[in-house]
Amino acid sequence: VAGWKAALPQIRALGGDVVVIGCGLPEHIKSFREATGYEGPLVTDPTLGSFRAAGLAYGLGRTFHPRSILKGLRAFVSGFRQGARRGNPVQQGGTFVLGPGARVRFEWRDRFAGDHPEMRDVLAALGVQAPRRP
Amino acid sequence: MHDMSNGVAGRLAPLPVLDERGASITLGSFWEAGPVVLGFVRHFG
Repeated sequence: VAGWKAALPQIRALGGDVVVIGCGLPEHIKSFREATGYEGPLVTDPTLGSFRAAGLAYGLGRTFHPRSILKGLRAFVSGFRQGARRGNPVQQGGTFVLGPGARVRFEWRDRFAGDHPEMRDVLAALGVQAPRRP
Repeated sequence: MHDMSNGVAGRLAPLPVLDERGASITLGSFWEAGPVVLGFVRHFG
């Protein structure tokens, strides 16, 4: 969520938005917003119907994949601490850039926990040119 | 012009999701008029 939160003003300036969808209960949204400081739309789908429709991965092997464990260790070393998990921990996530209408600009399905797309690729789908790294 | 009604946007658009008050929202309403980044997270936490 940190990457989307940082990119939100840039995306909104282009007439877009960021919608985050979880799979916990609606009453979990408020504490998630408070913990992350994310100000964009937050919704949830406890039925997981939208996760399935999006073709997202599901299963224990994806959550405890060796690369997700490595990413988790790196995050821990850099100071990140996992809060209370509210949802379905074996459900994997994904990122899509959609609209207007039926247009599909970008599709990414996490192969394992922590497998996120590069934000520059997401922004490029919206027409934002990310600055080159020095 | 390609018909993308069978693409992921078309599959997701009619599905209901819940806001923090428990009110139902049709997912596709978010990208009807403009583009959105739709981020699926594994859990709230």
